[in-house]
Amino acid sequence: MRAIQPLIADPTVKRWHEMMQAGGMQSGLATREMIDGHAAGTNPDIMHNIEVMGGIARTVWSSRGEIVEQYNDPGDFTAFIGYEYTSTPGGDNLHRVVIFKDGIEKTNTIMPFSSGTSENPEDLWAALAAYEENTGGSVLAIPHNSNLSNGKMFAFSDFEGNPLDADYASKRARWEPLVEITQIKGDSEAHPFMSPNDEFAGFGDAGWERGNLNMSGLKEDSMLPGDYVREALKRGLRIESETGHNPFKMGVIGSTDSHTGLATADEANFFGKHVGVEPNAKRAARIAQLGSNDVRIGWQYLSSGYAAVWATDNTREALFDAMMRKEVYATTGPRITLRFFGGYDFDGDDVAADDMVARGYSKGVPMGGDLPEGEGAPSFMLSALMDPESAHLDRMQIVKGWLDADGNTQEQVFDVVWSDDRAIGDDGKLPPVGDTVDLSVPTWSNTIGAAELKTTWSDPNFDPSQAAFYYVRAIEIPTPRWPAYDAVRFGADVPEDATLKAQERAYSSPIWYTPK
Amino acid sequence: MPETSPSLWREPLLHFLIAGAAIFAVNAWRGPDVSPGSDRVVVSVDQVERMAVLWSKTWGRPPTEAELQGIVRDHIKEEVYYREAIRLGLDINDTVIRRRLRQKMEFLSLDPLEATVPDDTVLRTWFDDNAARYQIGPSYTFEQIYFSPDGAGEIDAVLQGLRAGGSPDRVGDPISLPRTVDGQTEDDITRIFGEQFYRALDGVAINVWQGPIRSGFGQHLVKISSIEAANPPRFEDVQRQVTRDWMAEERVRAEDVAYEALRDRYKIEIESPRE
Repeated sequence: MRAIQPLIADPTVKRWHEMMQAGGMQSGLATREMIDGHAAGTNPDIMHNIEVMGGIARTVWSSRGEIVEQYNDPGDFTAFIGYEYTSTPGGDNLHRVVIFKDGIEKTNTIMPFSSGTSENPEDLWAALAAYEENTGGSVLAIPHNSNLSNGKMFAFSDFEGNPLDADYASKRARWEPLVEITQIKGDSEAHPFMSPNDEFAGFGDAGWERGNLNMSGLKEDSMLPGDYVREALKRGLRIESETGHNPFKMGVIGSTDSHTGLATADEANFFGKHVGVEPNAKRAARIAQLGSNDVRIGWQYLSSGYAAVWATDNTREALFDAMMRKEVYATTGPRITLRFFGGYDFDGDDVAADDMVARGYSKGVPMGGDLPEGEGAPSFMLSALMDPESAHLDRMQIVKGWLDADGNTQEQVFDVVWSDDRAIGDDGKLPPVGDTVDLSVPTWSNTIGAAELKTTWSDPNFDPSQAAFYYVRAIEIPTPRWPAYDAVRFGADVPEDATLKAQERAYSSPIWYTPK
Repeated sequence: MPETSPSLWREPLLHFLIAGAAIFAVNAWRGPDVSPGSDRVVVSVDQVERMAVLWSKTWGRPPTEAELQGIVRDHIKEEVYYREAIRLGLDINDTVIRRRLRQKMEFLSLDPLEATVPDDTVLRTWFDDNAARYQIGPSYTFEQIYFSPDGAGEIDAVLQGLRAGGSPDRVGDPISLPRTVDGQTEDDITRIFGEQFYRALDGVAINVWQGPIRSGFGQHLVKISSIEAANPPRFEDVQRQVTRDWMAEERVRAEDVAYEALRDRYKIEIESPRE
């Protein structure tokens, strides 16, 4: 298995190997001999054999797998084996994170599918299908940073430019049950261009909306719908009506995409994307280059997000199965506890009951599920418990998307439960919750908002002939963003137009309704 | 800009660019160096087989004849470009290549270690020296009653009532938090109630309603019925953890040793800035 095996068939290399094993001075001496030999051209021929030496690089995959295995503690700490597929044609981000349910006995029989081999995600899916067939294992892929794809991530056409057909749609739904909706390089839920009536749609879009991954391609308005998840969920309904399959039937998770190995999506403890942008006085004002044309300023990076999974156990098997059934949600950093059930006969007693969750499962389906057939309009039971280390909650909303009688997609955001004694205004909007942020500390106060929100809601406009999806957005009261902490801690220069406060949030996976 | 010219001529970068341009011009005029063997690209049967195996591991199926030809064509293209690039010196001072080579050296210095399985004696000794790392904190059993910031006004009255023997069942505000916690340690309690709440449990008297204790949610009254100290950690229970921690430490050490052995071959001078 190890690439070093063919090498140590050579007596000199074998002697060096033993010296290396001995460690200390011996390993140092071996290294010296090797380098001298290299300089003099007297090293064994096998060391010039590119296949053998290339094999050393290939062992990185298997040795990393072994490290993951060492840290996977079922029931306590789950470590998945996975890799990133970094397809970026022309700078348009089509990246996918690939996650295996399995251990190294299966994953080490393959090599990761590289974007260097093919940038067409359909080829990735073919490789994943072959993996499952050959090993009996399980694997899934999660696209991220659709916001940097310049319209390509959720396009109506495939990689080659052909219109999406049933084959493409069913394969995509099969291999990509989830999408990453929020992360350090911006939030991909919604954009004001498609959602002008949603005053919360612009979260985390600043800077990122201007172009693709490395700004080699600038963004045009016509690209935006192919970049954001809410629009993809809507497009999915339309494509399903045309092909019989919904390619974008996706649950949602958040993740940091930081390269530090640190879970630092808290505003007061943001360690940046990589070691070059750890906390310092300059990072909020600097252009953190992803490419030579990049114009995104440090403060535009988000301290976001996390993935939440409702699973029966903290094991690879249980978590993977929950991801496959989309029983997951995303947050932009706060550890909000979010519940969402859909059914037909929830009443006020259910949501107030101590066993609300059990009733949710027995009388309906959880987030990520499909509403079964039922009588009348569906009802939804939803609750959000604040993160005890973070802020109170402002409101919970249900975002509905549907396909109207003319085959056009529509969306509406409903405020369904909120804190403090506010009433919906004449404009149909719930007034803002207020703002307790003190940027001089910085801090906020939980004197507004609520520790927990929960309610039952029924769709007043339900039409049984129209395909629809519903998802929850739970929104916190305003809190300081990380550049506000930098400004105080380091006396940092923060650009005048930087966003210093935000209302962080959690997004549930949708529940879908499909007419008979 | 004549006034900048004299200093510009002293710039090493400019010398480098001129030298580079000169080499390029000479090559263009003379054609690239042709040394014995280097103008032959031989693709052996073994190599083709290995390429096919690697391809299969990536795609999950063997390549078709056309795909195999494609792989070989691509291999030749890479070989030709590689040799030409080396000939032009494009590998010199390339940040990406330097970093890659550094990674390879670091990886080589660790490779023998990856195969090493430490024996029990080594691990036990290491465990004895680091036992404190594996000591878990006490486990708590308690009841709690929650008061929202709006309901906090009644908290003293409720506390008096409870201490006088009142029932805890119908007091406080509703919230999706457990009313009773049974034998849980720091991680669990912190995950549910937050750090502030867990820290406040320390020093609270047993078997009597106490409070208010603050958390991010609001305020709580608590009645702790038991605090059990955890037993000292046993090697058998944490052996896996010990193995990984030992290996993590060894990895760092082995890399340091390998690097130091190499660095000692160099005379390193860091020049002071000129006065």
